[in-house]
Amino acid sequence: MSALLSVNELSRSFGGIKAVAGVGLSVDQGEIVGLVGPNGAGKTTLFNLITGTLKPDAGQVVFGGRRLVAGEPGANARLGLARSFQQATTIADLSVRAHLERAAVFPALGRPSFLLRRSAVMAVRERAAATVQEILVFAGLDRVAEESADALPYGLQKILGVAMALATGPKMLLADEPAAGLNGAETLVMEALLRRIRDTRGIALMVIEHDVPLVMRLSDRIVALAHGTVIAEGKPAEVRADRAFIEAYLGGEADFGAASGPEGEAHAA
Amino acid sequence: MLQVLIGAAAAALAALPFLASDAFLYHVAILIGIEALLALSLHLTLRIGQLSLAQAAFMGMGAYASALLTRDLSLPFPAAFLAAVLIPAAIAAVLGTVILKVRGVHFALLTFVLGQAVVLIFVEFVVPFGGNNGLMRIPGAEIAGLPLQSRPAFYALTLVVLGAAFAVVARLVRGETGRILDGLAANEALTQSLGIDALAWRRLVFAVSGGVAGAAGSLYAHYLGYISPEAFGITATINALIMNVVGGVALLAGPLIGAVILVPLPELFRSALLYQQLFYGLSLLALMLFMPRGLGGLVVARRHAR
Repeated sequence: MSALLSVNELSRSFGGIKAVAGVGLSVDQGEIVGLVGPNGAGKTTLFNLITGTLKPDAGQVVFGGRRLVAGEPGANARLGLARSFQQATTIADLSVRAHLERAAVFPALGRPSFLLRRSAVMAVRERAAATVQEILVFAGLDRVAEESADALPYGLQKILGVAMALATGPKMLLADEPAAGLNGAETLVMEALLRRIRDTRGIALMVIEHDVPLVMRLSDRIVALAHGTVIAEGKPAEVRADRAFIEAYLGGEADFGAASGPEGEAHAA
Repeated sequence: MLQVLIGAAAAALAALPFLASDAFLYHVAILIGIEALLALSLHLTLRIGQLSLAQAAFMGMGAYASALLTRDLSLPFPAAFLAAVLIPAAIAAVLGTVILKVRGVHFALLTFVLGQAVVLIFVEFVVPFGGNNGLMRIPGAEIAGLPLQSRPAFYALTLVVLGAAFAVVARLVRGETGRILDGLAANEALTQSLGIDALAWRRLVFAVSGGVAGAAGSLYAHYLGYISPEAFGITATINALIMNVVGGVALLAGPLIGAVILVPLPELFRSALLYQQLFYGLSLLALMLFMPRGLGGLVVARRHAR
C-alpha cells in the first residue's frame, strides 16, 4: 500500500541553523501519526514545509501521488492537505458559522480564474450551507454557531480551527498542537474529536503535541524529532521506551507510561 | 435610511453642475471625477494591505497610450480608452507577480522608484512621448461621431466612467471576493490554508487598480488636450493618498469624498494666495488629529452608534 503522504530528505535552514535536516517520513491513508519533540526540534517548520508555506532548501513532499509545489499553500490545501494552527485562529469578528462558510467555499475560489468555472463554483456554493451544518454538529459547535468566534472560550476557538480545516474537505489534516492551552476537560473533547475525524471520516492525521500521554493514546505511530532530525520512530510503546527519545525530551530518565490523565492544566491560566 | 440620504445627496451633488450650468463648476466637477478615479485606484491597493506609490504612473501610461493612439494612429476614442485601461492593467499584473511578494514599507519604496522610472521614460524617450514638453493637440473625446468635448458632455462621460469604475470595484471588494480579500488582510496564513492563492488574488486587485488609474489618465489627456510627464509624478499619487485619508481609508466611498473636498479646496483659498499652502496644511492636520478615520468614518461611526 502506497503512503498518502511521503516526505523525502526535507531540509531547511534559517541563517546557519538547520531547523529541519533531511527528514523523511510517511503517513498512510487513515493513519494517525504523532509528531513529538522538544521545543525547537523543527516540528512546526516541518509542517510549514509540508504545506508549502515555506520553501525547502532540499527534498520533496509527495501527497496522494502528486509532488507538491513549494510556496503554494493554497494549491496544496485544495489537493486535500488541511492544517490547523497552534494559536487559535479566527479570520475576523465573524460568527462561527461565517468562518465555516468561508472554509467550505474558499477552496472552490482559490484563484480568480476559478470564477470562470461557473457550474463547479455554483455547486460548491449550493452545498456549502449543508456542509457547514454537518460540520457544526460533528464538531459540537452547533450551539455556538451564531456567536462571534472572537468571543468564544479558547477551547472552542481551537475546535473551530480544526472544524474549518475539516470544512475544506481534506484527505489529511495536519494539527499543530491542538491541545496546547486547553484545560483537562477541553483536552478530552479535542482528543475525542480528532479520533472521530479518523474513525468516521477516514481522514489521516499528523498531530504535533507536547502533551505526551495524549499523543501516545491517540497515535498509531510516533515520529520523534530533535534538532531537525528523526531520532525515533515506531509504535507509541516502542518510542516511549526509546533511549534517544527520553534523553532528547527530558534529558534523562522518564517514564511517560506512568502519567495517565491529560496534562494541559498548567497552560490553562 | 441614512444610505438613502447619502445616495440622494450624492445624486444631487453629481447633478449640480448640470443645474447650475456654470463653466467653472463643470471644470471643477470633471477634475474631481478624474482625481476620484486615481484615488479609487490607490484605495484598491490599500485594500490588499499595500501602499502603491506608482498609481499616478499607471495614470500616465493610460494618458500617453490614449493620446498617442488617437493622435498618431487615428484610433477612435473608445478603442484608445479601452487600451488606456488594459495596458496599465496588464503591466500591473506582470509587475505585481514580482513586487507583490514584497510587503509594507519596502513595497511603498519599490513602487515609488518604479513610478519615478516611468516618468523618466516619458521624459527621456522624446519619440514617441515628447520629452519634457509632453504631448500637445490631443484629439477630443468622441463616441461614434458624437463629440464629447463640450464641458457638459465631457462631465457626463466622466460620470459614466466613474460610475462604472465604482461598480467594478464594489463588485470586487464586496460579496464573495470581498470575503477573500478581507480574509487575506485579516489572517493571511489561515486564509491560504483554506485553499486561497494570496498572490493570484492580490495580483487581480493590483491589475484592476492599474486599469482604473489608466481610465483616469485617458480622461485627463482628452479633457485637457495636453499632457506632460510631471503630472504623473509622486505629487499626484500623494494627493490621491491624502484624498483616501481625508475621505476614510476603510470606506469604498472614501476616495470620492476625499476628491470632492480636496480638489476644490485650493480654489477656496485662492484669494489668500500667500497663505494657501498654510491653510491647506492646517486643514489636513486638523482633520487627521480630530478625525483619524476620515470624514466617511464619521458617518459609519454614527451608524454603528445606533
